[in-house]
Amino acid sequence: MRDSERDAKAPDYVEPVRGWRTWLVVQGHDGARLASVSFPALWPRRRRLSAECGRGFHTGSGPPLRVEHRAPSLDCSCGIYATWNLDRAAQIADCATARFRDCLGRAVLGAALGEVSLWGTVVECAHGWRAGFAYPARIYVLAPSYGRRSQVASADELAADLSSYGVPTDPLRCSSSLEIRRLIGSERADRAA
Amino acid sequence: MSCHAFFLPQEPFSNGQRFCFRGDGNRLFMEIGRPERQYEIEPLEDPVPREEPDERPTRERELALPALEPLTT
Repeated sequence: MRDSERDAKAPDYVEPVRGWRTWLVVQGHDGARLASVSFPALWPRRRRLSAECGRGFHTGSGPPLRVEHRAPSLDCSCGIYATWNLDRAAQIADCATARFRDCLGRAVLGAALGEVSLWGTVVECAHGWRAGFAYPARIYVLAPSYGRRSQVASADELAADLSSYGVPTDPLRCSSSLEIRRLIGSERADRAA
Repeated sequence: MSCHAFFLPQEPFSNGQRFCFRGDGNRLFMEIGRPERQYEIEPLEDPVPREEPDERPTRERELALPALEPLTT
């Protein structure tokens, strides 16, 4: 389907899907910012993040998609990723906090995970989604001890800074992915009660 | 589980049965499995929260100073 045809087509859904992601928290010029762990991209505040294809991996069954296309596409690996469940995002947090020291030339202050809204063109996959547009829906900032690395700011300070994204932002006092699942699980149960 | 378990040296993507990460030196790639279907979502309500007036920096909310009268000599 050509882009012009897709633009003219009525949407299939009118509610964004919500997935889970992990972010790096990096030092911005005006406070902490969220950054992708997979690509050198900062998540803007109060603006959606838009996907572009950098001719990513091939994930479909046909030949790799080499033609220019709007992200995401079924036959490419492009798009903004999110997983269906918290467990997978928590596992990434285990790796990300131990692995990165800087991102885009900025100091990595810590890591966060949370829910993300996805919309536009959305490719549903076996364990998550790839989307054309995304914005955080809820942010949990991991405690300084997470990943056994020191941070220059406390989780409370980072959470206060990241509240500029305009979505619920909370520090999470935990030191492992198991604790993440337990804490967020109980917090969500409290909210539902 | 150790982080090393996620950095598998095999083909870039698994068959979707397993969750793993790959490292390209300084990046992590999230495995979300094979694509199954594609659709369009156009939210009725913008998922990006609007900036409240009192969240803007003070200097943006200050009224502009009145223009100075031209000097006459």
